[in-house]
Amino acid sequence: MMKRVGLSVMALAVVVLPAMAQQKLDERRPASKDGVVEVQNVSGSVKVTGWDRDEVAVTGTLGRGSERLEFTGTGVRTEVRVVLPHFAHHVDGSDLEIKVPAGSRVEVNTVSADIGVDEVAGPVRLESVSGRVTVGGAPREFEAKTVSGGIEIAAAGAPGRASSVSGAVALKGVNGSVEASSVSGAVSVTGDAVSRAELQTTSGDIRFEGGLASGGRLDAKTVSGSVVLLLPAATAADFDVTTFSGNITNEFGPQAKRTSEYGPGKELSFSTGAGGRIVAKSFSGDVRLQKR
Amino acid sequence: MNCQEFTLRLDDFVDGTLSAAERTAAAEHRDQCPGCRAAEARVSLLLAHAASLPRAVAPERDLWPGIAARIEKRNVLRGVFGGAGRLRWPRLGASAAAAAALVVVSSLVTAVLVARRAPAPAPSGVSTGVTAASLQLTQVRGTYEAARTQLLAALAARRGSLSPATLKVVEDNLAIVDTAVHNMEQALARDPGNRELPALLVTAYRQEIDLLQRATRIPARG
Repeated sequence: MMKRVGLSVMALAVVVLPAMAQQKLDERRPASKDGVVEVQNVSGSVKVTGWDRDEVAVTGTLGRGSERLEFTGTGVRTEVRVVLPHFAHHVDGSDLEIKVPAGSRVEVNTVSADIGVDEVAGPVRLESVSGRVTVGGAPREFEAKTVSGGIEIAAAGAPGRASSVSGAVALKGVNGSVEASSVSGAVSVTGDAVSRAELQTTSGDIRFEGGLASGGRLDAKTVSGSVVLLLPAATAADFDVTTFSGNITNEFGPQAKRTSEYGPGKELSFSTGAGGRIVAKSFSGDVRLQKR
Repeated sequence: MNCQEFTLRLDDFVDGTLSAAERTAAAEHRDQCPGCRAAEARVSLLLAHAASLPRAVAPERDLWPGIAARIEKRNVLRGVFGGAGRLRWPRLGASAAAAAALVVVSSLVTAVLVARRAPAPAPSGVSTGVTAASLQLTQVRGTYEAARTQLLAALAARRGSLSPATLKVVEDNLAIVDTAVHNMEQALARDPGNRELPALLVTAYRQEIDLLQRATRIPARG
């Protein structure tokens, strides 16, 4: 009887112990130059870096309590997934460092794991609940979404969109066409030759610091956040600024005037020359047009 | 001004928000063109009819319990960790329906934006407070409220599968958008001719639907 119990305990240990320990990862598979690499991880981190080899390599650690790493692919599509047991009470985060062919399309989904992507030239699509998302390098286009995690895209020239619910969204070095939004987080954009930027919040503040490309357009809309547009003194654009109950301050020319017979609305429309178009609208937030 | 140019400006013409020069040109064309005169009459009649409608019509009975029961019965909300612990982002019937509704909202957003064109002198003519923009806003509001109801039900059914921290973020931000919507609707009721508020209001509607859609797609443990 005791011998049977002992054997059972040993068998259980063989099955369970690997899952209890943290595992080092070092796996690779061939992949096409411009295939899709899809990554899923719940907690920990995911760092994806482009390289010049036609293979995907995964290193890092699989968190204690994780069931296994599922690493499959057909060349054109590679999947990297941390698999968790059905009824795990506590699972440590897994930290994945993934090298992908630089031209890959990268798609990452996490719950709380931070996501970082760099040196990838293909499009990137990143989604996390509470993890932070950062993108560097020069992806062809980007899409990033979080619920509470912050987003920072320093991918100059890439068109794309980034949105969060409560996280801050920062797009740096923009010179293409971008959209950025957050409900309560701040939205900020910098860039010297922005062709189109649509920035939107409900209560978060909006800040734009940079210039428009020739014929560029900037739209900033918020309900109760403030809008600050820091523009070159020589900006040539048509301006259209309104607020229902906030204030408008303008360093580029005329001051705002009341527009509504019934409400406290203010409006400011003027032109500093043909070229771009700048629109800023708020319900109760202040709008400031400042010279850089 | 030709017929095509007149048609493009028709909403603003009946709203009285064209510039003085455009208004004169549009009036001259209308006086000479029977087709455009009829088009203007149709839009004006529609606006007058809309102005006479109540702002809201309560259903004869409370429909929500039946809708909620059907959603429950169809089991559109399944566990999100499918086979072998795979992280699965839910695909919800309610969310899909709301996504379709969102397409309608988006197209109506365009309609509201087109109807509310910039800069304009003091309004003249129609003084009912109902403009082309506000009429279209009424349609948007109906679509928004239907989508919102569906998505709130979907979110309520998923409360147990979301982490308390995420749920708090979602609920706090829903409250922020709801407050924003409430404040703007009150402002619009006080100033129905305001040309900017409908667009800002629609932006808030869209943000709330987007937030709810995202919340219903958050994976379990998220």
